[in-house]
Amino acid sequence: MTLNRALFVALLLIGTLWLALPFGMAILWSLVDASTPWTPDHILPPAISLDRWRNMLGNPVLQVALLNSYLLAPTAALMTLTLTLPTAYALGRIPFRGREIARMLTLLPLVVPGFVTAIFLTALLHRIGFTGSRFWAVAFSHALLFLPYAIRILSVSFEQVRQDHIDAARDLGASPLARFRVAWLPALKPGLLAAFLIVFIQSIEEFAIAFILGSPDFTTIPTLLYARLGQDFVRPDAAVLSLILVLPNVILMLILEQLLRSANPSLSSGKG
Amino acid sequence: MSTRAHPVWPKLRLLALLASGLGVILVLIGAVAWIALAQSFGLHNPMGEDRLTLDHWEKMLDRRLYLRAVGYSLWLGFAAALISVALAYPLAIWLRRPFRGSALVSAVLQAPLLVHGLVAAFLFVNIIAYHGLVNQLMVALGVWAEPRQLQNDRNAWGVLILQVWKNLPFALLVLSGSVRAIGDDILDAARDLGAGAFARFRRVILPLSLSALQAALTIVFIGALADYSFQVIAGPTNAQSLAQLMVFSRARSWHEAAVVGVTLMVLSLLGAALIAVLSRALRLRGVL
Amino acid sequence: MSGLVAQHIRMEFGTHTAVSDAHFSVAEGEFVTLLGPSGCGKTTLLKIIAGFLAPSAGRILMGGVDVTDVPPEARDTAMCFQSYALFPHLDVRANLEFGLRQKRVAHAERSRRLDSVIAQLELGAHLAKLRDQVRIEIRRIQRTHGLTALYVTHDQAEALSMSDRIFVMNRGVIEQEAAPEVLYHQPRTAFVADFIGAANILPVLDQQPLAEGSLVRTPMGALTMAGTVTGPAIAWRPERARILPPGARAVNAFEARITDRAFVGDHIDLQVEINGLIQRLRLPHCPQAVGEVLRFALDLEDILPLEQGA
Repeated sequence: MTLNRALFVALLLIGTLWLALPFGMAILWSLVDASTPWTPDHILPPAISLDRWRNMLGNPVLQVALLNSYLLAPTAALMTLTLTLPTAYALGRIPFRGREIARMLTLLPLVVPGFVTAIFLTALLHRIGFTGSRFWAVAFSHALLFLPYAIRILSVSFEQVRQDHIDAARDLGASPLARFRVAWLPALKPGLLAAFLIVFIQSIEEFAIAFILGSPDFTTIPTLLYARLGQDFVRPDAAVLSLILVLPNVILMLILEQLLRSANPSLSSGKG
Repeated sequence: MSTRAHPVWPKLRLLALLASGLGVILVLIGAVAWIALAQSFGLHNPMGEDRLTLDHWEKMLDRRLYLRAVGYSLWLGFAAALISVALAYPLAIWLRRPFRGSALVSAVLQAPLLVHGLVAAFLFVNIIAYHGLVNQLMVALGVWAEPRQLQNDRNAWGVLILQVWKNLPFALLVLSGSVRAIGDDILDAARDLGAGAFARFRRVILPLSLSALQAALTIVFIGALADYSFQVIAGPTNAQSLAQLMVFSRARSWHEAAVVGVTLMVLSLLGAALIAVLSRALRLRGVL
Repeated sequence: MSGLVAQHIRMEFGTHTAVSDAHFSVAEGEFVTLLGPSGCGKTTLLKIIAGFLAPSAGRILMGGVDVTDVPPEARDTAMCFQSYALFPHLDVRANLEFGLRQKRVAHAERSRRLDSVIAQLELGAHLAKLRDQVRIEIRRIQRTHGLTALYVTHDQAEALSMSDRIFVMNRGVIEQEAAPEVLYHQPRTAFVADFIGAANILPVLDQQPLAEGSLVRTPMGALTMAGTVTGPAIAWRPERARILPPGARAVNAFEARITDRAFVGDHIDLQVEINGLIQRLRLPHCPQAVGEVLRFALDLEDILPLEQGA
């Protein structure tokens, strides 16, 4: 009991050090007023304002990146879902020899190192001439890269569609559409939402492909942040960008966690 | 069923269904691997003529930069995997059964999962900067006479800290799932039969969560082996990671980048295989 | 374990008292069953004895030694889990070997014992064992080796058939500890009377001493009983009712109108109305149908006095 208590307090301390402090600093830096720089002799910024936020949000470079990122994400998510549904149906509902191997193979995009995929997928797309639109090339690459998540979630959802519900609906004379609505959709819905959301979040965060395939003229929030951490480093601007990248995703992730819990309890607890 | 009369139709239907997702994955990831391999041997030259050759491999294998990157990335991969798992394992066991506050501890520990790698790197650099919090604290406490250069430290402690910060929650997630799946009865039975805390870990928890341990080690290893962002922002300036070298080489020669890319894939596979062999050995010999 | 003594065991979880003042001893070689409905505290008590829970108050002694602060791994107990708790990563032999290894039994001895057990298991595998037979087997092993056994169940048939003594638990309290037949014939409380077998329980409104026994007034009517009752209620068992032929006279005779009738094979379960009160009857035969009236009597000894329970 006392040991647990001590461990608990220690962990809360570490938790503060490992979360509150870094984010606290970032928030403070994002609030530094441009007129008076935050010099090391001050513990807190001498002047505070939302100027940095206003400047960044008014900056057309960021606006383009935001637009790109938030258009890219739903596009990639829809593409992924389209590609996923038939395969997830097969993996979830048709027993066949080698199904486990097929399931393993769907994980391939996650095993190949991100920058290897980024560089040589770029080479491949160049080769087959699919580079006319950076946007579509990046969206398609994201769809490919995040297929494993969607296939995994939705094949479990398909498994959970209950045959007795389908049979009962048929027995009661339901049309295929009515059967889909009453037996399939309720079981699939949380999985569909979760898969959409996970690809959405991953796409917003993805850096390697956006950086290699998109550069130099197609920017997303991560590539913009990368640039601002490198050659154009201005600490307060980087702080603002970091928070812009993190905040929406934290909220989306919390929603996702709830969805996953209902779609597939074993996934959210990290099992299997 | 009408399809039963034509045994070939269900098979075709299955293949058609699998083609959309699995097919796309196999073709494109296969192509990625193939292009990397082919380019590393001089084929698929985007700039000029194809020529099958070992030149690019010979040139790279001779270069100290390449060899150092291999060693450095391997070291980072294994160190990150071992440290993350070594810290996550006891936490997973501690958090196996819920107690007051355990949800909060889990949430705090797993929060970095929600934080982008680049943001994490920025947050970290921000704290260890020349006028950052750590330096100010050490100077204020009188431990250091003047601020020190902590960013991009030569021993890559910064990268390692970031890797652990980002990967520990993941290892914790994977290990918790499998540690929690072990029933209370099983552990109570072991105790009742006379097994103390260490015996219970060695003979019950470890063997029953070995596959999760293997998965956690493998995934963290591959992630850290192929790291680019942490290395570029917080890593030592005198060493390059393989991913960094690959991006850097591409500007000069696709073929050299391909050699590094293939190296990365091969090392990932070898690392995963090594971890698999070790856990298999543990399963067969060490445990029982 | 040799003999077991539990001294004033009390277990609290927050404001909830799971076990209050369990005080008993189990002799060496005795088979005792903790019987009670789910949530009565029997499993908590077992866990305290095995060492998985530390009691809020009280001591546990095994073979005369205080083991209250000894962890389960150091107690000489062997717990059989309801879920069997077999180690999924170990085969049959390794599962059996686990405990021997932890107890540091030498390798040769370990092998000898395992060989003999596995030979017996292989023999037994040919006989499809029913749960009843497993029960008999457990009892046989326990007797042969003179083991002290504490068995936990909510199944009264299981408890009655296996035990030397049964401890009936209700809401954290051991209401009665007695041999199975004593429990049935002399239940101490309403809970025990109802839990072991079936019982009609009636509150005592008033009692008068008679030359032999006493007369108690209840909502069902006046009843003559052999002894006296000190507690708030009496009980009688549905299967003790004697059918009276028409016109026959007897002590404790009642007229009952049948409100429900269920044939269950070797007997008939009836719900009857006696003086406006619904009671249960269990008869070997019953020619009457629902709505008809029958007459029955109860012997003086069949009126069981009850004490105040938990």
